[in-house]
Amino acid sequence: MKSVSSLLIRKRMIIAATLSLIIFSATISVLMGIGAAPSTVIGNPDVYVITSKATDGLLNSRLDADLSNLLLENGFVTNSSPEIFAFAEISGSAVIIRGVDFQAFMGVEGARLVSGAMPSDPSQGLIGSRLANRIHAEIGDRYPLVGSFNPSVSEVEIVGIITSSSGVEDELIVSLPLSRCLTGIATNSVSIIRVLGDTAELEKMFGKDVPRFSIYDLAVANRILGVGRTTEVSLNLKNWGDANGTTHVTIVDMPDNITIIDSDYFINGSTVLSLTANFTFSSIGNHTVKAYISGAFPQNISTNVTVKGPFLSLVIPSKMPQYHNFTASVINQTLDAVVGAAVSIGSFDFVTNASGSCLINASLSPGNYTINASSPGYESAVGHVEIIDSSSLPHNATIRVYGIVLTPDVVKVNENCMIAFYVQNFGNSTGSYQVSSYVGGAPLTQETVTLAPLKTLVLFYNTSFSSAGEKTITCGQVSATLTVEAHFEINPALIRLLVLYGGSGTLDPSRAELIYDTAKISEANIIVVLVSLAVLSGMLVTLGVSISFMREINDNLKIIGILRSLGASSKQLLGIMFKEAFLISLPAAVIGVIGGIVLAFLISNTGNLVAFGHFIRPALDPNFLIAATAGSIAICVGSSLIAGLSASRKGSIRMIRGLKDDIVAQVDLKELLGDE
Amino acid sequence: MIALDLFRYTARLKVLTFAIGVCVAFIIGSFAFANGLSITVQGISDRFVSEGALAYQGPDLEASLVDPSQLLTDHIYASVAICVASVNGSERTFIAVNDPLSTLSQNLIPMPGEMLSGLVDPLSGPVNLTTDEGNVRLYANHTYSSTKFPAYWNLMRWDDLVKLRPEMRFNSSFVVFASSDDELLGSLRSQGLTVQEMTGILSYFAAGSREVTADLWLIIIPSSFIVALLVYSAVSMEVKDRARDIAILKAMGSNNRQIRGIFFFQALMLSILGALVGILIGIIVSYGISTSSSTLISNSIFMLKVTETSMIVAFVSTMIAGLLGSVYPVYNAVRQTVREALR
Repeated sequence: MKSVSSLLIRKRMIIAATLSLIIFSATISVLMGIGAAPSTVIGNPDVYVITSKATDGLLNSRLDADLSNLLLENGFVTNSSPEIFAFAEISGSAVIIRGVDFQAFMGVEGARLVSGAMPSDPSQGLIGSRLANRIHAEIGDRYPLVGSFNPSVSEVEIVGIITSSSGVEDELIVSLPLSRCLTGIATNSVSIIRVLGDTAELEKMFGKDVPRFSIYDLAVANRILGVGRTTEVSLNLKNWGDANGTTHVTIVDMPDNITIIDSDYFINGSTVLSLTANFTFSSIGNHTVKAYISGAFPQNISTNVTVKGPFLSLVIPSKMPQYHNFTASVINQTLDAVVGAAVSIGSFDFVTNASGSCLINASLSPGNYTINASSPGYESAVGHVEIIDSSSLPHNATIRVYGIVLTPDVVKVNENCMIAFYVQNFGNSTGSYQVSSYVGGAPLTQETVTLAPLKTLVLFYNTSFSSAGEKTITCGQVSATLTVEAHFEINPALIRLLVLYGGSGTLDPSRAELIYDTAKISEANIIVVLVSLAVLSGMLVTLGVSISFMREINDNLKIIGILRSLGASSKQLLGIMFKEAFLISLPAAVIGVIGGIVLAFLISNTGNLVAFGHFIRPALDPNFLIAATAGSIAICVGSSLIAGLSASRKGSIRMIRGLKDDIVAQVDLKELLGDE
Repeated sequence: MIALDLFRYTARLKVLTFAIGVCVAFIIGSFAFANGLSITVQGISDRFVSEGALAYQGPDLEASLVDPSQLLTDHIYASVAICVASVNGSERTFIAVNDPLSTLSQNLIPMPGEMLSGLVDPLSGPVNLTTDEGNVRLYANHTYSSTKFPAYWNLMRWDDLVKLRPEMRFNSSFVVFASSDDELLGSLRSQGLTVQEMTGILSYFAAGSREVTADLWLIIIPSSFIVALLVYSAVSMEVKDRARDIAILKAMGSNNRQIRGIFFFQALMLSILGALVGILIGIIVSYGISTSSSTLISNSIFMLKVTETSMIVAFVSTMIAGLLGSVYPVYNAVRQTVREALR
């Protein structure tokens, strides 16, 4: 006698259901694997990827390789690997080539060297163990490679085989110089940077849709200036985030603690705002101008200014022949002529006239002399002149630059420096001369001057430099060195990082649509297709299992008929079927899902399941297991109910007698036998 | 003799046909996906024009020997000789270029007595290059930059390279063509050379699509299994329901072979009908997915394409699966004795 648990559905039904479900879960597992294949480019889940913002995919992404070092310097990241992708076909297989800095790459990837050694020169490379198996690569093999996007020729020598839990298993790992040859990517550029580290800080830096601010280039137009003189204070404020936003900027003059700027500024995303303010330093001494902002990246930067009291400058020739008069001019800190200033040379004293100059008509013997200029309320000035023998003077006009004075001689980037070129005609006749100055070989100024014999002229220029460093200014035979300092004094690495690269890239743990991006196929497209295929396979299995149940119920119609005639309602019959189907489907689902995964792995382990150079690993995560099991049970129970519903509609007597109520035509024996 | 009228039970017929149809649609859809992918990929490959080819002999460039005088081609090319020499105790790669027709659009020949260093780790001053076969002393005062070769390869004159590798006097290691076509590639291959078309991404995409298509052949396994299961269930139901008919046929003198033929024929018809329905569903579904995804997703150029091959594959695999699925129930059908069945 049959037990109650298998009244309508025999136990053997479990076999059909299990087999169907094995197929179902294997299919779904592989489909999910295809969907997840692109993300294997990224590697382990804790690895974050920085790509450039302006581009839409890994292939077009260009980042400055320097960003990688700056991130490391700032302690945001513990490992950082700049990488470049190239593509090739080797022995009929599509192969992804990854250009890396080997040490950095191994750190981020957590890969392990299985055999061989780490590359020691740029022509050597590593190969993932699975790819090595697929293309039968061995240590010492050399593979000639052609450029992926541009015509070029190179070759890589395999020196080591590595293994990793990610798609690197299927890749050829080469040096950055080699990958640059393969891709035409310029020196110092890379495609992506993969990082491990403080994700929160990285998210702050590269997170989308938030305004982020940085201040830089704090400059005071004059580093040394007279008290009471108004100068311009400027600061650049950059919003390197995507969104528009407002931030509060404060600039103060220390130690006087006078506010120069203290207000909110609204800036559009990815733009720079230059703030300027005119300010008058009211006390003599060394001042520090400080600027600061708060927010996600609080920063403060400062610059130093020396405020002097009124001072004098003396304009005199450097060399004069004996018995010649010459002019000494006295100017103050604002370049205005000073009237009534006392000028002394040796034991002779003179006073400047209305134009700030005086004629030195002292009879001096050849030698070096010091000239002093003083005036009440001013710091006095000192100059030097050499009196030479008249007979040594050339007859022709001989104009030379004899001095360069830089005020100040240390400036910050974009800060003004006043350059004074002292020019004199040492000859006995009037002549013209082109005064050309150069900075490190590049022309700076050019002006033609005409000078009477022995006359002196000072040419003033204001200039500023946009880059830091020592700038050598040459003019004729003289030169002077200007030190241009960067603005990043406090936390320079952070500010440099933010100003240069802040918001220039996007950070994403899952940004991996390498192939899809290339193909301009969005991930959504692939998901639509894979989900459709999964739904189709679900329907397929449902139908398969339903038909099997139908067959079971068909075999047990007699029992259903008896139950019906004993007074069982359709609802009760369905209840029995549901219970039996559930009891069957529970073990079937478990065995089916496990079997399906085993089958999927068996298929994938043949190594034939590859898409665009990357091995497809069937999905295997707890969510998938739960979903597949629940789906399988639902399929079985649903199928049994479909079968049950059609059976419960039949008349009980017909079922008991084994007659069918949906016979469309009665069999004609003669027709059957074919002898009409 | 005519067959039993095919399906006496219309409801079962409908369900079964539809079920087999879905299986076939699954196969068709999967192939449409693969075809769509390769078409899309082809479209991308078309954006990269062929920019020449690299030809060499044997497994790698160092071992390769190509005699340019034996090359039968109208295409212009540059010959390159490669040599690994030891410099100050370390191994470096040197190349010499012979490019009279300016295939590489760059003069890569150093002045006599000199060599040109690549930009990576350049050499300087007088350097002694030695190999097992000779040595040469050259001045390395300048660097070169070329997009054609890696920046760690160094350049030397051909006559200097011959001193280090005498076999290069009449040979070269590899040749680079500025343009290529199928005719050239075929001709070079027939001359025993290994040829790589530039740019590499073309061959990468071609190989990649082949891989995906190969993966999707696996789809046939689950679909065929389900088809077999469906046909198995259908035929065994049919066999059971028709026990009496079978018995009558047997009583009238039909032999087992005739009866089996009847049921095999049924199974086959069921598969054919299902396959036809499936192809129709497959085309509609693929078209639907293509259209809806391009409507729903902006910038979508992805498409599904149903090809004749996929239809034939789906059809044939359904036939085979259907016949296999019916084997067991059909053999079962003739096992019952007439007496039992008619009781």
